[in-house]
Amino acid sequence: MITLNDILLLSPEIALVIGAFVVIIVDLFSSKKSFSAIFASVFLAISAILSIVLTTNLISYNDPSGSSIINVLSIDKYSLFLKSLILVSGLSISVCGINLLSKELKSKGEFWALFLISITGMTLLTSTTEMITAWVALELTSLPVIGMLALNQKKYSLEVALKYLILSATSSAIILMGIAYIYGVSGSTFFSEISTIDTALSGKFFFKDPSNILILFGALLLISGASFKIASFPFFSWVPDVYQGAPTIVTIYLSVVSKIAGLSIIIRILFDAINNSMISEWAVYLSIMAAVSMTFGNIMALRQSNIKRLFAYSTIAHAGYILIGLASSEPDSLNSSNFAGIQSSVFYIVAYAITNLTAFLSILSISREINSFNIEKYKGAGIKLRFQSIILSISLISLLGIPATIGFMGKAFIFSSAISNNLMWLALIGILNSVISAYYYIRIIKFMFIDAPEDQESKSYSSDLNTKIITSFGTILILMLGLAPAMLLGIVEGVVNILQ
Amino acid sequence: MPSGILSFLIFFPIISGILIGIFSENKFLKINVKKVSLLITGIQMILSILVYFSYDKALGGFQFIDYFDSWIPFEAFTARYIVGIDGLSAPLILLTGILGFCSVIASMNIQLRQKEYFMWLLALQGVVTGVFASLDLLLLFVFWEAELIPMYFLISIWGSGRAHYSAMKFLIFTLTSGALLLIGIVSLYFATGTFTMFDIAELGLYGIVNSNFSIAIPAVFIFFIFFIGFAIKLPLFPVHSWLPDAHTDAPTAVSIMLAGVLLKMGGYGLLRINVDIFNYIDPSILTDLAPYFAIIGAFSVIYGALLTIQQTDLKRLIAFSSVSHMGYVVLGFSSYGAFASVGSTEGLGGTALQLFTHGTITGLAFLLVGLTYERTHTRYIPHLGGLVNKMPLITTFFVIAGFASLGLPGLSGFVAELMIFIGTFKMGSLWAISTVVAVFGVVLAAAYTLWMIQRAYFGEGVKQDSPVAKIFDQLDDLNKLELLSVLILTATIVVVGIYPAIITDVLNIGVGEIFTR
Repeated sequence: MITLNDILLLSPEIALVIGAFVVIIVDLFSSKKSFSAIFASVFLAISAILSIVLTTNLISYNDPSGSSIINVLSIDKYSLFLKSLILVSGLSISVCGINLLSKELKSKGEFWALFLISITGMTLLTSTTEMITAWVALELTSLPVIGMLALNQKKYSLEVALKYLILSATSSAIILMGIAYIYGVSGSTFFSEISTIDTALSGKFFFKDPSNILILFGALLLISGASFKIASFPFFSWVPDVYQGAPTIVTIYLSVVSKIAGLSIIIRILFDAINNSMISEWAVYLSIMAAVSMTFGNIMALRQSNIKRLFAYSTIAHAGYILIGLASSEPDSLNSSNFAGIQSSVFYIVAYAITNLTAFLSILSISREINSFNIEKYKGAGIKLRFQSIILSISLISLLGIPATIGFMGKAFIFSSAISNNLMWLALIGILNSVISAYYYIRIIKFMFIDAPEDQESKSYSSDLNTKIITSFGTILILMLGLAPAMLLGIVEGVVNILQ
Repeated sequence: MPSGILSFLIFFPIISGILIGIFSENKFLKINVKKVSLLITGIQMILSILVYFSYDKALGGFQFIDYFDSWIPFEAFTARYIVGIDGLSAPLILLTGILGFCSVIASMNIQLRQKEYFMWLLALQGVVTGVFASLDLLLLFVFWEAELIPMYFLISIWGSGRAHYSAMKFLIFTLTSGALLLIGIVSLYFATGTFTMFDIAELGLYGIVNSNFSIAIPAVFIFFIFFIGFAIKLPLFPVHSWLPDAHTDAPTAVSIMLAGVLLKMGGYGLLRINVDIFNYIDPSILTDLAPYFAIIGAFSVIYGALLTIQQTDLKRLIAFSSVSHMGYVVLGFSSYGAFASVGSTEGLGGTALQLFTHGTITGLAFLLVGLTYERTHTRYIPHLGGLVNKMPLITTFFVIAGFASLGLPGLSGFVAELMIFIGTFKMGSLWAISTVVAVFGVVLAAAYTLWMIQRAYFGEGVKQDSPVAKIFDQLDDLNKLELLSVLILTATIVVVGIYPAIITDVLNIGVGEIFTR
């Protein structure tokens, strides 16, 4: 039975769905184009506020386990924290989209409705505790994106949408395959029941038990499928083309929000569903995923001239850093003497979300003024669009991981967790990769501030006000949490604890 | 001295720099930014001199401690804000204060994007002070890396020649060094459970020294990670290639800071971590490997000197001479075992002193080269000559800097190098051979220094086809402000040369404490 309490707990999602319908209806009757974006922002704001209120409520009532709804959704601290992060990121995107989207996109109402539905899928994804629900939520996130990509009405947008569709379908199929394996062994699709099956055999005899192998294989298929969402190895080949061809708003959405949602379900599957005794086995696979993603992303980013494509490769690399934290989560490392990897991963995704959102929104605002996504055209942007360029530079420095920014703290925690779990090789690969990344991040700053502008035209440039406000908030967070990360680390610690 | 003085020395220039950046449209600042920067670094210099001389030698240990416990207050990852100085770091704080002031004087002719320039220069000074004052390894790392951003902008915007290339090269090399340090620092943390370097009795803190050391990673691996990280910064052959480029293309003031202070971060790190901390963790690592370090050091001395002789660019020449002089640091560092075998710490004391003296000597040399370049618009030695007729003061001081650099008795360079040679020679066998080889570095230093001064400042004058010939008559000597900065540095060199105890008394306390912790 669904009670009033359940409706209250699901209110963020309900607000989003209502919002999607309202946006479509408003679009039918209004002539002004920015209306639908404003309405979408309002409903996202309502949903975000509801989610934050629920989070603080749960924390104050000291009920970390939360409540479950018809056994398939668990509204707990962990899901509400990531849900709030997703909703706030989505809100930032839609607020900036009010003024910025008109150039790139012809139709608006459908776009924002699809946007809200996709975000609904992501918020559901953070709280699923059942395989089929997770799969449905995943589909709910990807299908609207195909529409959002194709609505662009440019000649390459269909190609991009098709590319996304095919790879998304493949990854869904792989996830279903993984679910089938796990169901075959455990006879259940509920995380809690799967985790109780007996896997007493571990270590040397681990592979003697066929059910172990099947569960592990299923879990690997699940993680591989979900890697499509976080844009990491093995499903990252769609990223550069789609990021470059998509409307920039969708690129930002895919690179930030989609990654949070993907990570949330990977963590749920690994730490809630799969029995802890298997950690050392799947950690090897995650380490390989991390190493390949980082190295591939960073090396490919070196020679890019299109800033969206460059960021596509850079987000692949960042997915790799996040996976380092998950790979170094041996169960005995979760006690207080060692540094927990999962905690550093969640911290890093927050750091990444704030930084990448700030960077990408600045890029959108700058590129709109100078009318190009080519890095060479950024020459002199530091003079023409000073404010936005400084903000972009700070976020690039944070992505690179220089101290006094949140990006540094994120990387320090990630590498610390790897070293404390005896994954020195992975820490070394990661840290050398972050040295490589200096080249392409700093190159953008060089174009903006050091090179003289090519044209001496006296056209006046002005960046969008909404973007200015939101990226300023982002920058303040980047610097504040970079100097004093204690507050965020405290929240993350509390959030992650309920998974164990 | 009031408490909080070290934090003031760190954050005063950083915050002033940021304020200059924020209020860059302010009319008063637009006109007076140079005076304001001069005032700020002047205060810095006076305070750092006061701090140095009020270091209580009888008390020893860490003094002027500032402490803030809850920077990252987690049981699993505890880092504190804690700064303080002991005998090893006090002279380097003094050095940073002096060179910071001189580098602002050297920037008086900057015209391009002035406020940004002084913003970065001031920030750089604060951050470097932070490196020398940090007693928490993570805090040290934060300052170590934060220094990169000001340096990158200073070299690439206000530099000359291939400034972008050199700045990027500097950035990549230093980031690699920082990356290795981070691995080392975190490994030490998980081995000992703390980032705090030393026991601070009055705060009840326990440091890495004296904690239980247990980790799966071998200590020798961590040692090498640190050593390579510091060697890049020092720089030591074969990872020195960033230095000549960065120096040559950087503006004068940045060359002064780079040679005078930033290279010292590498030497300070070697003494502070590879000697001081590893003396506790596993003394055998350093005693076993020391002969090889002596060989690398001696080789770096000779190799750097041989490269220096071939240079035809004044600035590049001095840059390469830094590689040679930093070789002495590694040579002195290898005499670590002397305390155990012959009960002496001259080698380490000499190393620490070399950091200070090389900072002032090379700072002076770069300052004078910069002043010469501002007047002649070329640093190409064959185009110069006979400058003594037009710039007697610059030439005189350059001769002093040159003599100090080649180790003339009575000037500070001599004391440091002598102490290093005595310290390493006493060790016998491979150390003695390395010392004998390294002594030839002094001969080569005499060769390149004197030959360079002969060609550029004395000689029969400028050749007719040289671009300097046209402006030779308009060349002028030092103005009052420039004379002040030159005099400050020269005074340091002469005073330390005649009465080395003014620095070594403090240094020896720091070096002695390494073996009593």
